[in-house]
Amino acid sequence: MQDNEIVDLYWARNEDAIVQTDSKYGSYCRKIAINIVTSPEDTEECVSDTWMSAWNTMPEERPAMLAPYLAAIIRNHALTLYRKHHSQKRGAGQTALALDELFEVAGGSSTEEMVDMSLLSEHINRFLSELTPHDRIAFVRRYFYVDSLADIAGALSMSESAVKSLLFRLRQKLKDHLIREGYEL
Amino acid sequence: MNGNDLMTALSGLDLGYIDEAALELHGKPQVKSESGHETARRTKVTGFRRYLPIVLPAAAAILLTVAVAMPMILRMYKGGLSSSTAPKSDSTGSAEAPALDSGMPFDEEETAGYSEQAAEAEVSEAFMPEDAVSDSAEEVAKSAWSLTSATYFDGCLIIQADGMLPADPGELAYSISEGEETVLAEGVLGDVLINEEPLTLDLTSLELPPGSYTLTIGDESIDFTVQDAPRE
Repeated sequence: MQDNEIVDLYWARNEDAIVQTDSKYGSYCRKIAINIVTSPEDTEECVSDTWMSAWNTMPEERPAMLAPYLAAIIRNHALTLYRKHHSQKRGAGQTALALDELFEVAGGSSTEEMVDMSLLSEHINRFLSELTPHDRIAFVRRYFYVDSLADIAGALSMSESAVKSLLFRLRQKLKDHLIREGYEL
Repeated sequence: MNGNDLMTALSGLDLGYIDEAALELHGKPQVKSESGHETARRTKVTGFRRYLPIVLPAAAAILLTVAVAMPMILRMYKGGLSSSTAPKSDSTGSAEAPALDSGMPFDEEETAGYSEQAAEAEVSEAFMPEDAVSDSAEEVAKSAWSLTSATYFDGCLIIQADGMLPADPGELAYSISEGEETVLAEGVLGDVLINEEPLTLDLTSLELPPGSYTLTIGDESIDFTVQDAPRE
């Protein structure tokens, strides 16, 4: 079924929308969630929450691309669950590693300043627009999808060490970019 | 601001960037591995479509064979009829003598000549030394056909040959080698033969990586190349 037909089902409040979404993007969403929360039970919880969010938001919104729309939703749910389970410490797994890497870019405290998330997203998008598609994919796979270095290396036909050094350079670039945008890091 | 803020803000990425990096995750059928992670499954052409590249050239080759070979076969058949009525030479040995001396009427003698012609070859071979027999068989095999091209596609090797192949090509010995010494497979063609016209061998079990290889059938050899599989 085409994405616009699935969206039509959401708009028509037809519960088959969730069945079709799960059929087409279930595995994709589960992959994103399990990268972050690692446990199958938590993954299923994220997936259920995502279908619920899609059901609640869809009549107002009509996403042109359903897959990344769902990806953003499930990523938020997975991060929320991850933080709930690791409120005291960052825990283990790829999420903790990716977070550590992002803390290299910005190591301040959340309480120091109120961060405008939509503005920060805009700045990150502008940073990504300046990258080559290859570098951008590496960055998004690591810090959006929380993919392992091995998976990224396989997808981009690179060695793990090459991916690691590429991501290091990209984090430095992001830091420079955010400083130029006026952030104090 | 810290890494947590960055991680949260990344959920607001442009949908195009999310999609760009995710094509291989949702653009293809997914299969869940034992570890719970999913990997893209190689899309495999199955059913009749898989054999189209073999069936179509095979049909074309059969049509060409019929069109080209039939007149030759007819001419050979006519030639055989006329030569069988010609006087036979003495070199065929004593087996021929009773027919010549049989005193049969001409018609009967002519009819008997056809079967005797076949017998002649056997008898003459029977009186030849063993080496000579095998040499002459090899010469016949060598002169009968030759390999002209070999194309590897999706695990199958499609071979074009000039001339008439033996009646049962499945009994011919074959080998696949990489370089001069590394023999990867050998046996009789019947083990891997999936089509006779054109000769098509199923080499999927060898899982040949990209590279150059040599196919040897009998005394004939031909090189073929396994290309990189196109990325999906």
